[in-house]
Amino acid sequence: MFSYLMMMFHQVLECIRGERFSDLVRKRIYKDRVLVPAEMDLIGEIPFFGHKNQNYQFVEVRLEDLENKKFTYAIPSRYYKALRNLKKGFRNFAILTCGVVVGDVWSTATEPCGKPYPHGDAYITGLCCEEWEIYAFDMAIESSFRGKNLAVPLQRFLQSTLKGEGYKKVYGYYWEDNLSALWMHRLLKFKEYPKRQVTRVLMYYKVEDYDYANQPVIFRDIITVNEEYCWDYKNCSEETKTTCLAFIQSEKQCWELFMEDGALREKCKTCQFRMANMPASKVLA
Amino acid sequence: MDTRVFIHNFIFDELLRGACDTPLNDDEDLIESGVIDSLGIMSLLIFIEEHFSIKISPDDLVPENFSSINTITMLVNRQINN
Repeated sequence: MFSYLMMMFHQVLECIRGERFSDLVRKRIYKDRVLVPAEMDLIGEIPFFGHKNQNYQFVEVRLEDLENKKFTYAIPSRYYKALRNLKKGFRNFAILTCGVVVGDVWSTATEPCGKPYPHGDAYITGLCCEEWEIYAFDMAIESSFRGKNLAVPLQRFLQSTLKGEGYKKVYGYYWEDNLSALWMHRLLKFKEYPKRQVTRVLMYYKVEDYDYANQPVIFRDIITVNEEYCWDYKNCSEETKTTCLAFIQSEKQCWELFMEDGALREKCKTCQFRMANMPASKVLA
Repeated sequence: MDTRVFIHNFIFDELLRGACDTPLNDDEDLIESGVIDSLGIMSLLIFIEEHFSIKISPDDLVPENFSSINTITMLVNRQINN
């Protein structure tokens, strides 16, 4: 409780010092904010996570490190968050320079068998971890260290560490209006799930499916990646991309028509198109 | 000045801030070289939307569209024509 109160106190203080007064309200009260759940497969190779600057180290912080005052945090509220979350069993992956944590990200914990513990965010993200899958969340980098290419290496460090322990998948999410987070997820090649719209008033949340029908139709909305309906656009051949793109962006922008076109459908099977049950209304212009 | 030149100048002057001694090639990989990181993409996006009076959708914010000056120029021209 003490660490929670201290964390809140410092969060308020940081907003005031940074003249980000609106953040105090904006993060707790919003309407129809668009959330994009995402997953990262750890089966493949994780690219090198190091940084050109040798002064940065990537470490997993443990509770005893904080108790022994091995590290300090550049953002005070993150220290109290670490105290609180580490006691809960969550895991903290951090970027360190000169003994100071300048950025960190969290992951949930699992039992030794890989059975996951749930996380409260599951309600808004709709994500559910299976065995040897893990949820990563809440990344922060101290403001003076932003723009130094630290976010991607930090995520890769987390992924690489978890992969080494046998994990197969990392889940996460970003808010679509958070361009930095969006960009990081795209650079890391996260697969994106269908968007969700979230309304929050303090402790009250309302979560809805994203209203695709009232958005301009673009190709990527249709190919939103999901195990059930998926068009893995990046794996398509150039020819197929062109054919399918032209079809979907033509006047007959309709999922039903696409589904009726057997020849096209067959062709698209070569780019890992899977049969979808997505209603046509979701992709109608 | 055409689109390419505006984008080139912005990246050279604002994102690189003179840190690059050699000329910036239009095909150079801006992501690999770290020029367009999470802050760089925001500055670039603000510049593009204000300067060219266009709106870049979040769905167009993919590395393929921002990997070089050439691909950024193609994206901007596509949006202008739309």
